[in-house]
Amino acid sequence: MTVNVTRDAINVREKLAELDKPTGIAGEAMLRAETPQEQFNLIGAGRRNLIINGDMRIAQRGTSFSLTDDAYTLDRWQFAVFGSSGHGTYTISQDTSDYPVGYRRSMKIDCTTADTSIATDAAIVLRYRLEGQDLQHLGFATSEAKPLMLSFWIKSNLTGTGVVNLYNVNANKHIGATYTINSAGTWEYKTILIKGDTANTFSDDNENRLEVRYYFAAGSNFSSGTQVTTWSSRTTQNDASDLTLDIGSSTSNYVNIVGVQLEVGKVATPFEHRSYGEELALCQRYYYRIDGNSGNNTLLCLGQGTSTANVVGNISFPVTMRERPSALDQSGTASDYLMTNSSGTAQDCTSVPVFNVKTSEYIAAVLFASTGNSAQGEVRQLMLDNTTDSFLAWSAEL
Amino acid sequence: MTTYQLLDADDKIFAEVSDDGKIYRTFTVGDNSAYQAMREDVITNAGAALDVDVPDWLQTDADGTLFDRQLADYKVAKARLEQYEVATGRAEETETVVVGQEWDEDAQDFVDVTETYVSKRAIDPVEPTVTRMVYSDDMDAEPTEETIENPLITKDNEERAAAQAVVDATPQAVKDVA
Repeated sequence: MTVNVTRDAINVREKLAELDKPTGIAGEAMLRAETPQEQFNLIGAGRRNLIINGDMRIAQRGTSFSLTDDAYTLDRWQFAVFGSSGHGTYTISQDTSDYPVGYRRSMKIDCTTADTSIATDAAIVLRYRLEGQDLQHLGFATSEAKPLMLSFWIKSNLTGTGVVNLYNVNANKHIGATYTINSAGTWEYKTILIKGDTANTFSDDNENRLEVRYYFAAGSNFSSGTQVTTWSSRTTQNDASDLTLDIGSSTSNYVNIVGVQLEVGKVATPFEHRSYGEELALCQRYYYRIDGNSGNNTLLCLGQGTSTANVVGNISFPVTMRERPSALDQSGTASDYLMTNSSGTAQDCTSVPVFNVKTSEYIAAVLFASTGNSAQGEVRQLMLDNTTDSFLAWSAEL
Repeated sequence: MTTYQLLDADDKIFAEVSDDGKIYRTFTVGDNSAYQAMREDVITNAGAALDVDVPDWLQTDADGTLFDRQLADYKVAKARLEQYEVATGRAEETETVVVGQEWDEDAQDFVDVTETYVSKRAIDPVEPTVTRMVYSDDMDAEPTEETIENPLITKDNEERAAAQAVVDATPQAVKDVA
């Protein structure tokens, strides 16, 4: 037997009010939301962080770099030295012992050779670059340009005013913001609200269109103007006018940074922790490296002989790279690379692997050479020797 | 010094040879630092770091890069020179624009309605000199006053001179397309 029960419709808002349980401003805002989209916007749901490797976990190139000039360090993060004369020497490292709660690593920028008098054209910058096609949802160059929130953890022996710039490479516009390091040697969480730009947008492509630049030292060419706090045509003197930090002034100086998040909205939400595999894949769009190990030879691929010495092999990239790589990096030692002979025995290569022009953003082509070990058309196994020195790497960085 | 070895002329493959004689990178034409450094060597040093004569295609690319760079520098320098001189200041400039039309009874026709607005406001020249106190190493000596050219004028003059030098050094072919 079926029993039909009819009852009046329930007004959820009234019932909640009757409960006399405070819902808070956020709760009321959620209840007032008329559409799922409004609720979505209120809680900042979905993928939020525009920064890849903001937690400094991925380090395909290595975990420590001694630098006096521009170079990529931990994945996606470039240490940049503006000007021709430099400003000291730095060790950029993945610090596995100093990080705030919720993280297991940070990036450390440590001054190892000081320069007590910074040149006028010098600046020390930590730079992150974003593709234009990943910025279209910001709605820049419209009246509904969305604000951005930059949040991060920072620690330094220095106290004072730090400066961050967002630089629209397309339009040569920038906006600056300052933050204060209040206590030496203490992790501090910083949030910076950045206005949307209603005038200028970014090209919808795979090129470098927006840069986040942390200034840690700046000569007068980058600091003698007025700090810009609205999107303005870039004048270098206005880049870091309020900066008081000078990381290069002493070998005691360091900065640790982690948890960098750039997101749409006016609220700094908790850091978006992605899985290691997901973060690594995001990084591999820009840089891909295969490392050897001390246990076994590492098989790369099969290749086909093009002569008595040369074999060309194809290695699929795990994700489509940002653009076709145009260079191949390796250890510099031919014997770190192997190819089998006609009997299937691994033989040292007689020269280092060479970039091949059939490389695309999908598949790498690499030429291995082992004199007398090949024959045209024959198949060979191509390998890395069982040493941690051996590697192959391709870059499609911005 | 890093040198460059041509490995494959047809495919334009080069090796970057480091100071220790090892090859850590092989590359072709593209957006990689090795190619850009090799092209820079062609621009600034006639390709002395290459182990072969500079190929025509590479020379063409280097020439084009240099042209673009000179053009960009020229535009920046010209813009700097067009800024007012802080020593002389700037007079007010006005512009008159048509903002609409109205019916003219006398002319029996529509006539333009114009408005004049200040397009560039006047800026007074800075003081030509400033006076500063000069302190001697002798702690007992009284400080003396020294009058010098206003540093704002000095800086302006230096920047204008640098900009003028860029303009003077720019080839005519570059100026022609600016």
